[in-house]
Amino acid sequence: MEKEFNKVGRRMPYRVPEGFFEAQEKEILAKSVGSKTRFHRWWVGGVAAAACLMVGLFGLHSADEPTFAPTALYGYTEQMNDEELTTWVEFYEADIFLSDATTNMDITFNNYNL
Amino acid sequence: MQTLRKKMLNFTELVKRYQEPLYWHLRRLVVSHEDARDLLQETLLQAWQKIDTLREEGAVRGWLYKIATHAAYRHLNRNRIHPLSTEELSNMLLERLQGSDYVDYEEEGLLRFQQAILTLSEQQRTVFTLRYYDEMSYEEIARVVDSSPETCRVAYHNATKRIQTLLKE
Repeated sequence: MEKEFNKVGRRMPYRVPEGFFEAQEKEILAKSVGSKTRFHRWWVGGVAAAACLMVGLFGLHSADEPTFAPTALYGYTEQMNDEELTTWVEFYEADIFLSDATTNMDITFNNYNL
Repeated sequence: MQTLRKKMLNFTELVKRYQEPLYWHLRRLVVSHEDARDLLQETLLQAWQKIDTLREEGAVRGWLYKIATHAAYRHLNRNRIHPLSTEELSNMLLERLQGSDYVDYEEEGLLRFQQAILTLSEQQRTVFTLRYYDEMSYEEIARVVDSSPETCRVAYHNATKRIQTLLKE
């Protein structure tokens, strides 16, 4: 066969633009292996972000709650006389936002056996 | 994780090794550079998706050429209710050869040889180019074109005779 077409051999009249195969290789790998790597990074990043969020929401919140409100409030109310304490309670109960907070504080008061 | 890493490395190696021969195979089948480029991407992206199904490492070349060949056949007959006849397909490809940006028209001998190849039937042309340019065995060609080695041998013989006749004219 080689002898029959030996004038031509395996040469062809076709050609490609310069740097074609290098560019193709990059493009194909970006669309295949690259997309998998990007997805993998996104997935790991997403899981890490979700873990941080969970720690922020539950871990830190639950750690702060017993120390912040009760100790500060306990020290503050302890110094009040009965009249001041009654005025303070009435004032806070009248405010819907603060009364929410005082409801939570009742729980902490119970913890401190007030 | 190790499996994914291994898959990525295997595929990268596969692209480096086979993208060029696959491109030329596709180019010989569809003639147009742009179409061959798109089909090469299609072929290798399909291979990426299916690489887990490949069991025999020794069959990689035939497997890739089979994906590429089928992609080329689909492309040549796209948007058609009936497949093109050999003559219609041949005329379409010869037109492409005459009007492409990436063809050297200076060497008349090379052009005539390609023109002769383009007059063959789809199956004969595939068998001829796989044997002549890619130096595949008839067994390997048979797997690519879903045929028997004997049929491929006959197809190659007939293709050679036809090309010889056309070149003598």
